[in-house]
Amino acid sequence: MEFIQELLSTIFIIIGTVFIIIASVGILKLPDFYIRMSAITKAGTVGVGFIALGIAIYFNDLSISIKSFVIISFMMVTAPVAAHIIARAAYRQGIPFWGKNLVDELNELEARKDLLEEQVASNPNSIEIKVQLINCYITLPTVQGGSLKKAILIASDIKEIDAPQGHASLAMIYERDNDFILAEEEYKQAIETSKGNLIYKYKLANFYGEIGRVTQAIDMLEKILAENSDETDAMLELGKAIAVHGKNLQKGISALNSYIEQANNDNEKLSEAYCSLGKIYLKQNDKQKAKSYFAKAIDINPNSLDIPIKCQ
Amino acid sequence: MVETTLYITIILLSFCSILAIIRFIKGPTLPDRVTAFDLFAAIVISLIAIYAVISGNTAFIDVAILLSLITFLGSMSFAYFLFRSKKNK
Repeated sequence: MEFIQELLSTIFIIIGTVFIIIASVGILKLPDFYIRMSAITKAGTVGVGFIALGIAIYFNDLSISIKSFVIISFMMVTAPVAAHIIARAAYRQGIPFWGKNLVDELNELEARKDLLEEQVASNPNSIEIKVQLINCYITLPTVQGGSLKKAILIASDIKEIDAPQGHASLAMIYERDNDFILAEEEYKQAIETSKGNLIYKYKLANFYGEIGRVTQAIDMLEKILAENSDETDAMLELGKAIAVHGKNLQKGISALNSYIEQANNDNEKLSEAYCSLGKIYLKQNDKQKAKSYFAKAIDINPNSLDIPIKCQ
Repeated sequence: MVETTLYITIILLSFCSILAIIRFIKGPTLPDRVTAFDLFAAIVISLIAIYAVISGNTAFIDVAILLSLITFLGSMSFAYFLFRSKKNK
């Protein structure tokens, strides 16, 4: 018994040592800071963890086991946190990637922000550029030059030129800031100032769907449909919302069916419609029909990802 | 038998610590040195833990716990220092 215990503990300690050797070779050999960092945080943590495990087995004692468990869990928690923070600080410092790196999205976004800022300064009346700049401001993290305050300032600029667009941009900013009450208010004002433009109604419905207030989204889409009965996009969106929500299924089926009848040749959307129909039938426990609709959806667009796996 | 294997692992780990020190000296940047120091500390933790097995003195394991705590604080404070220092892009 004791022999097995010793054998097991030495095996674990040797495995841990091997991992640490891999980490140290990695830190010497790998080409740039970020790759080295990933090597030592992964392999180093696993190595120390295995050695602590080996010790726990060797001593076979409750207090030692608890202590080595503390070492393992502490390494597992702190190593990723420290690595993440140091990598972030290093990126901010401008530590270079190695030459074969292809994507640096944060840097691209920042460069794009600077470019857009220049463009806004040179022609202050272009709404499109300003909307893009707002997008940049709200997607960039604060330390990298993103700023809600600047975004709101630009949005109020837009509001003076084109009131509904400005309200919609403000709503987008508030939505990003998780201030849903203000966002809803701004969307409603956008609809009001544009005298019921459909684009903003869709945006409001989309917003309701995004934050999980599906009933309100359905109400909104039904309102659009009541006003313009040939608005096919609204039918599709309504069907999708009902498929998620799971109530008034009959209404969803009829909306989707009329969408499919009137649909133009947009395969992706048509496949979405069939997929939503399948989901509705699945909720009605009509598996046969659901299956056939899913098959149609895959038939039209083989890449549609939204289909429940068990039905494929 | 166990003791000889443990001595061998100690020798290997010492070799690893030399590799980490080489990276520490080479740099070329401060974050590189911080991570090299992290790895060095992890190696020292393992060395202490293995030495606890060899000597049979369980008090060394407390030292290993403490060291792992202190290294975390050290790398955090270095990261904070990096955040504060000027951007030299």
